[in-house]
Amino acid sequence: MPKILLIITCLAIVSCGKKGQIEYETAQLKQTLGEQSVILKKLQTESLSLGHLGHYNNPEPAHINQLKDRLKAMREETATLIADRDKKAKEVEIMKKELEAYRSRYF
Amino acid sequence: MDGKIIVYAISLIALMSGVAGFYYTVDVDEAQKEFILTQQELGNIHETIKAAQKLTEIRKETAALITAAHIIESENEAIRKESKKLSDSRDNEARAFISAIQKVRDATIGMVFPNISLNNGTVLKHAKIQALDENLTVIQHSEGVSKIETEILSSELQDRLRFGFIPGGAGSATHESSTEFNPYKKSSQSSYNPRNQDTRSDTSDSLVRSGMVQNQNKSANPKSQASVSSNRNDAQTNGDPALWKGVERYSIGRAYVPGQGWLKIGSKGPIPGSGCK
Repeated sequence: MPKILLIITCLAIVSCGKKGQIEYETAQLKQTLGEQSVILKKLQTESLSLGHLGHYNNPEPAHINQLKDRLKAMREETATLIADRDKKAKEVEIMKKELEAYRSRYF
Repeated sequence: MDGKIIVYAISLIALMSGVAGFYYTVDVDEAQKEFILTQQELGNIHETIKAAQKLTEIRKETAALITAAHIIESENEAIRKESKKLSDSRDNEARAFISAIQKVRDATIGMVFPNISLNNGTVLKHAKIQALDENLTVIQHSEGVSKIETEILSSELQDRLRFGFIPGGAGSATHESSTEFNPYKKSSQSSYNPRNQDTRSDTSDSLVRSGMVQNQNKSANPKSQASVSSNRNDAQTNGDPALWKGVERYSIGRAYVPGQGWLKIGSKGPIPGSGCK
């Protein structure tokens, strides 16, 4: 009889410890969960602070490639425009000189 | 009696212990469930954070690219404006040039030259220009009055009069249709069309006739048909690098060849862009 009581007591003590351990681990997880929630909120706030990006508001990697291609095309356009502008400036300069020479010859 | 009481007490205690144990195991099960749920939530939030991090990174990159695109576009716009100003400036210069040429032409009418050399070798002495246009020039000289094709005037006079010349290389001596400013459009609408007239009129003298006959012989001879117009037509397709040899002076997109006037340089003109001396 005393042996039975001793076994029951031991089981009860072990069981009590198990519940406490589970509750402790759950509390730890909840604490981690809280911290992760804060990180998630920060990320969401950071994302929102970028503003509405129009067509690219929910961008995908394909959109990035699309934008990079567009930038490349725009840079090429810039080079073309600069070349065109310089050519025109040169033409104007030459035409001024030529006009001046013509005037000096025949006026 | 005492034994019974003890047995009942023990039974009661055992019963109470059993009930307590049952409720305790239920509590443990609930705690376990809550633990599992919390673990699942934590797993979910980890996934959400990963997705949010990825989205934020892509959004940041997108925002940077969009900003760069705006900056480049504004730069391009500024360059376009500058280019437009330069185009306007070029057009103004071209107009000024045309105006200057017109003034010189007006001043040339009535001007007296001691000698006027023609490309056919004829020299007109004490020559006074009475009238001129793109096709024909009327000159009074020591031996009478002559109607002369303007294109056979000396290179100095050609340079002075600049028929077929379009400042800025917008065209050449050939009558091209151009979407750009073409100040010669007006002159080509002139009602005076000497090409359709008989150049051997009564006022033409022997000197002019010799020039005209020479020109007619040229047109009669197939070989010499490769003169001004045919030369131009043939060269329009491929360009003739040999024309560079005859270039007396050149400007933006055009070159002056004595006897042929101002010709356009480049793929659309008779003179190829390469081979410039």
